[in-house]
Amino acid sequence: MIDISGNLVKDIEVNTVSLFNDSICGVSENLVKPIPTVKNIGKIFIKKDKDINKILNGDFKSVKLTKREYKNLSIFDLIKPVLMPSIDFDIPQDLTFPHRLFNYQIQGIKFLISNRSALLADQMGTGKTVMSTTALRILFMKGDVKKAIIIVPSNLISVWEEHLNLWAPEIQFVTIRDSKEGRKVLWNIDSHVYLISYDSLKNDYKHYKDYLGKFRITLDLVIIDEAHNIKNPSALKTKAVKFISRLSRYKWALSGTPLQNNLKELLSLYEFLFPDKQRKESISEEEARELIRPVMLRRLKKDVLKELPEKLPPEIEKFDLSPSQQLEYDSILGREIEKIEDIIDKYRDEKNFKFILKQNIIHSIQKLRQVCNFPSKGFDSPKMARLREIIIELIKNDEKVIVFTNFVKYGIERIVNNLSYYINPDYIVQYHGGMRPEEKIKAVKDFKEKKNKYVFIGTITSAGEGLTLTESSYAIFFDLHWNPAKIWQAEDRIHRIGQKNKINIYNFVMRNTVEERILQKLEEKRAMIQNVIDGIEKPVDEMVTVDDLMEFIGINLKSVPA
Amino acid sequence: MRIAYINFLIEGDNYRAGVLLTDETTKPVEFRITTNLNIDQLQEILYGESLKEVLYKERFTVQLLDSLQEDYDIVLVKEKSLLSIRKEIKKPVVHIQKYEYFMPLNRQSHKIINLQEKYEPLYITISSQDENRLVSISQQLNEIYKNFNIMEPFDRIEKAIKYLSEKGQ
Repeated sequence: MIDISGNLVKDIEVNTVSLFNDSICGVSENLVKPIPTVKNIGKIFIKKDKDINKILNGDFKSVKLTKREYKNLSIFDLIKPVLMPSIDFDIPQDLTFPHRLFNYQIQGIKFLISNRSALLADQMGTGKTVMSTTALRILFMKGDVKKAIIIVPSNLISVWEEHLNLWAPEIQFVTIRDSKEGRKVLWNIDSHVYLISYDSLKNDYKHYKDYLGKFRITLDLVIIDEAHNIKNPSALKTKAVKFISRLSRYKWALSGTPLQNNLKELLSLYEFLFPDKQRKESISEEEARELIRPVMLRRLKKDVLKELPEKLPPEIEKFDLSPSQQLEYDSILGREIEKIEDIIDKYRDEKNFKFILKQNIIHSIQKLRQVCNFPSKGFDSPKMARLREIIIELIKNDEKVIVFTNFVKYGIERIVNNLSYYINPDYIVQYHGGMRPEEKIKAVKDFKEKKNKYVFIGTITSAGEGLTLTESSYAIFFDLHWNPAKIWQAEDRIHRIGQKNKINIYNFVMRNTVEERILQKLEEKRAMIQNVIDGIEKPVDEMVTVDDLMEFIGINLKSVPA
Repeated sequence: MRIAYINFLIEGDNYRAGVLLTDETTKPVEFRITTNLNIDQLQEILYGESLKEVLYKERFTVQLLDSLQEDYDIVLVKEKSLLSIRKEIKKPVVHIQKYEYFMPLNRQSHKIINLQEKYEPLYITISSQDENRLVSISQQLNEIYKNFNIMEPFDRIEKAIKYLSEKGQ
């Protein structure tokens, strides 16, 4: 008999195991979290979170009052560079740059961008600052760099400030140039670029190493200008530069001086550029040069001359008075203001009052300008140190240089005296009104014809129309004339007499002095001066009013009758 | 022509979007971003492929465009699904992508080229209701593309969002 089995398909038993409770079967709540609706009530990124000036001026009792105004930044200011279109050298440049960039400069910018460690060693006057500012701007716009520091000699701070304002308008920078306590605050504020002098960095390395240690963690780019400042590896400022740049991805050194045959100097630069690379214990100078060569770009001015414009704008370098100069300046200023006020009281009703006043103010300004050059007891000063540095660099490059000053005793004599300690005195020729005509002719002839006459030092007033000094492509104005029109005319003359060479002009100016005020006036009156040159306006001597002169030394104009 | 670029950034569980309004030289005029929107793993699983649509279309884009105070002419997007937001805004929405040779050129799509071949050819698509404006939009974009890379502002939005996130914003 055939049986049929029972149903072999067993019922499936469902055992419910609750996630929530062992005894009962439960259902979870809705696990789909709703995605919130976006509301337009976000943070205002243009709001400035803190007022840095307020912090510096009062909130911190220990912080010294500062005269400088710092820009308070919003988040929007900080992200602006990455929102800007990236820079493309193929598109019409006037859309992106304030002036046309020359081909060699574009090459220089591309060289910097493509080298994490780079030495831009183009000769002085070729625009290293423009190139590095633009390269920095491009990296910020690409978002490759978010924080950078530029370390420069203190007299070049104003040059860099101007370049950053003009060539990198989206980049926010703060100049760390304040009291010791003020700088401590500034290291902590938000910015794209931090601009500082070697000396301030050295001091902060000494006192606030821990601040710098925190600061450097997020640093992407370090630029050191006049890189020979770190030539001595045991100097504190060299250590400070290497400390702050240690973790930075980009390290650029700028120098107009060719690589020297000095092993220590080369190795110090190498250590800045490649802090992680091991080098041989014993190394020859030639080997050290070879190490740096692949990341070095050097072009000479004569090679790029054709590309340069007819008239290069003058570069203004600003310096602080030395302590002894400051003391003397303040004391003279006090005395002279008192004297001028006495004259105003005494002669204000006289017929020729304005004439007397003008002569006296000019005399006072002369005295102050002299101290700006040198202290009365000494022949060294910040201007002199910089002049010496430039001259030595140019002589190494086999270049001639013209130096103009308005003073013989506080200019030519002291400059020659000082330079003679550092360079062969035979390299120098002098030219001033106290010399006989035949001496003047010989000075010019020597400078033009003799190869070893590198430095021409003259007074601008005696350097008449007949003077042609086409051998040099560098002119330095050691001091400024009180009359802005005369400065402008002098620059123009330099351009004309040196037409062949396209001259770089450098103006030396002392900060917070009559010289700086003269310079401000120069800018204000530039348009008017142009008319004078074109013969439309009043004669040059009438360009500067008594009011202007009073302003130079800081006397209240209201006290003088019209 | 003012273009409103929309882009998004996903970093881990965080979703964020931004709108960058540029002028005809691609210079920024206005920029807004959302806060971080945190999506947990379970939400990601449950929303599945619809997550991006919910976020990009329903949450971020329209709100971002509504928040703009400056006026704009078109909206440029990289997500094709965003073409459908056209219904909710008054301006043409243009989807832009890299051109491939097989892509059809029709009443809703055009090719954008840079004559100097500096930038790669692009392909734009618009929604059907803007068909009659395709030629004019395409001409204007071609004009801009002569000198400026019209894809590049999308990168800027990403960079800016990253920058702000790193700053803890």
